[in-house]
Amino acid sequence: MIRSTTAEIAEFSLSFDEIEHDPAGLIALLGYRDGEAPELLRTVLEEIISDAGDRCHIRGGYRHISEIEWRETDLCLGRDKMALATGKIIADELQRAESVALFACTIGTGLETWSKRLMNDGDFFAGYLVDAVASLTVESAMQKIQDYLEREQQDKGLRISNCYSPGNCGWPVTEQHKLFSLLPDNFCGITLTDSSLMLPIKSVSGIIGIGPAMRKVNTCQFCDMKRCVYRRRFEKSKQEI
Amino acid sequence: MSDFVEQLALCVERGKVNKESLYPPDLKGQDGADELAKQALERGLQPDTILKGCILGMDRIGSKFSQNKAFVPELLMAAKAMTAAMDHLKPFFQSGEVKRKGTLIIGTIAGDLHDIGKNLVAMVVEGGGFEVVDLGTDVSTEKFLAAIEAHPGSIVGMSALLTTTMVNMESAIRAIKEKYPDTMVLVGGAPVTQQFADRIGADGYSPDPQGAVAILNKKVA
Ligand code: B1M
Repeated sequence: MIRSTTAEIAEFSLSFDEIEHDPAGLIALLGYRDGEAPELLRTVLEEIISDAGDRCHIRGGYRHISEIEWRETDLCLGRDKMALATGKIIADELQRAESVALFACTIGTGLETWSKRLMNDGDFFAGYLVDAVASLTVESAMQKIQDYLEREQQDKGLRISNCYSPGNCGWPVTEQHKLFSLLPDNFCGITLTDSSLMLPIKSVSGIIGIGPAMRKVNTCQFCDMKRCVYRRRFEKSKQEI
Repeated sequence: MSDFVEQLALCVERGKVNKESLYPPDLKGQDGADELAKQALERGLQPDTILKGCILGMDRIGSKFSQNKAFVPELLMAAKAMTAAMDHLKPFFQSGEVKRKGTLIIGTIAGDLHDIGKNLVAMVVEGGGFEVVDLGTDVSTEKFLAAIEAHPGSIVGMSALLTTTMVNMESAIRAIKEKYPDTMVLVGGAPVTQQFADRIGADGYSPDPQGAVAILNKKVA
């Protein structure tokens, strides 16, 4: 994990191998319960994972902002007090943060291109699995960077919240423009389209609260997508508790 | 004949593409959709029996998918088997000897580049006996209009994965309805709901591909 930091900005470059790739976890995310997935799935996934490394250029990082102020459910950041309309759910969780970190992470376009090529050649099965590996890789990479921030804050006796993303928990996707205006231009090579889509597609963004009162909650409880596979994972973890 | 339809339907539902394919393991070494379709034509069966087998198989896997009893990978394997059988029908589609139920023009709406959900719908709809004209992603209103012009009487399907892009469906539907008031427009995608579909003047909404086929079937019935 190569890291470059200034007082406020941390940027990382990760290799595919630094991320844990768990075919079983991926199979569960595709919807299957233990032992139910076709064997072919595991075989193809293992092949994809072993070939994906060279096609992945993972970059991610965050800006740590200490100047924060709440105006009801709007979070005003920095000297210019850029107001992020995070909405009530996120405001309730982050209200007591002492500072925040704005995040972005991408794995580049390599896997996306590979997936598209397979699909154009008629192999939708492998193309879809490459796409799924790509999605999980960017999420895991983001998690790795969050873990880094968490350790850094723990050393100071502080905790971090979940990462909340524009588009989730009532925070409109259009707010991506404000979030990215607070990050350096072309941060990690990510650009935004007019419709707030990040390019490369396999990118994520968000905000994390930092402070002694921060906690982690499962955000599925705030979402009403009943059929989502992430929710099934959440329901399962609830049953296990 | 009904035996053949059943056999082919099974191959499609289980994703058995051809004899060589190792998937699914319990059908290893047996003929797949490809061989069955070829043999059917050699035996002089009506070409549309092949279409019937495909429709039945895709309907079964599509229903399982809607009920969370099968997932995207199985749907994709089924679509692959379906395509292997349908390839034998190409000349009959061209000559008009085998007719499809109708045409769906499908695309991911302007501003959006996601295509997996849209592709799945396209495959299942094709397996449902419709011709599919896939316009790709980031499809402008003009492109939809031009496709309707080129395929009169077709139905339009729009997909989106983000709330910021699904709003573009509204203006596209307005323009389509203005020029082609009788054209049916179907919408779907993760953030789309029935309420949203009603609000923007869409004629149909489905959370999954099989539901889209059901709506199309009703329309052409
Ligand atoms: C014509 O008729 C029809 C009928 C049915 C139709 C149809 C048309 N079109 C589709 N259907 C239907 O049939 C298909 C088969 O069942 C389905 O198609 P789908 O396309 O829905 O389904 C695909 C086959 C599989 N589904 C998917 O591939 C999407 C799965 C979920 C979990 C998801 C994933 C994996 C990802 N994401 Co993101 N992601 C979510 C998704 C939540 C979910 N459970 O759906 C969704 C779409 N994402 C969301 C968000 C917010 C985001 N994501 C982001 C990122 C990502 C990942 C990179 C981590 C990853 C990959 C994204 C990608 N597509 O490449 C970000 C945007 C990325 C970008 N480039 O800008 C980001 C903006 C978050 C952020 N700030 O970082 C949410 C959108 C909500 C909104 N407000 O718009 C979201 C619903 C999650 C949520 N619950 O909040 C049906 O919808």
